Amino acid sequence: MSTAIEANKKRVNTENHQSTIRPLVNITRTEDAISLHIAMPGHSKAGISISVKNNTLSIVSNAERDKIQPKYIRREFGNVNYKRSFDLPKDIHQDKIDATMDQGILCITLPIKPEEKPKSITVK
Amino acid sequence: MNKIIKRSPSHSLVGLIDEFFNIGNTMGSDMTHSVPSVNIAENDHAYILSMAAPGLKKDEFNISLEHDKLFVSSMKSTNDSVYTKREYDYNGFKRSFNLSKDIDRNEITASYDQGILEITLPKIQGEVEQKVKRIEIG
Repeated sequence: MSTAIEANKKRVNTENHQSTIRPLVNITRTEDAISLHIAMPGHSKAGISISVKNNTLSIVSNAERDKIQPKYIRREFGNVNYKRSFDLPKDIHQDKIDATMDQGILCITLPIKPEEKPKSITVK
Repeated sequence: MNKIIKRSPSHSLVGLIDEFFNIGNTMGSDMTHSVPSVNIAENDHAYILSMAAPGLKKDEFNISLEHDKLFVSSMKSTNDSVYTKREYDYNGFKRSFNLSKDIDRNEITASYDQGILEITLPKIQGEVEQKVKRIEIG
């Protein structure tokens, strides 16, 4: 498979009341790179950690705790932690993975290694 | 009395109505999350409406007030990316909220940071009751 495949599909609950959920992702692909656009509204880059181990890309982001708990009259989203991982295809340059955070979207660029040219062997 | 949104029998959900007009991408719509989630908090001075709509630009939002309704929508920006996977698309949503009488329509403000649109709806201090028109039976 040429696309990044998620390794962990389960939504996990942590013990300390603050839940951890799987963030939504959009994936685009060009000839040179695969881009992951991970939606983590309300999070800043300070709380994010990204790691690659055994061809698995893992993203963890911890929410900032509310100092004062507001009185909610409607609550559709919580102050959650995010966690999601992806299996990387073989042709990704793992040393050149790049990430930016803008308006709650973590964008991870996974550069694709140029295809190795088949060696041609001349029969003598 | 201090409800931002009117109660309606058909919308018993926490007693708060809001309407979805999902004009988003129809392709794979069951899979794509296209209506941003909203929290509404209340304190003595204001209602704070927070909408989780990450990845947009400030000027792609359209916030308007028509009669007693607050409309929040995003403009559809042209996007020719080819998606391998698409779980969200916040380009082209519309949500509306009924405003209660104690909100000062002229002092509503909004900001957008870290993918959260925050609209502050200040309360009119102590004037609400005086505005009620009493009609005596003649």
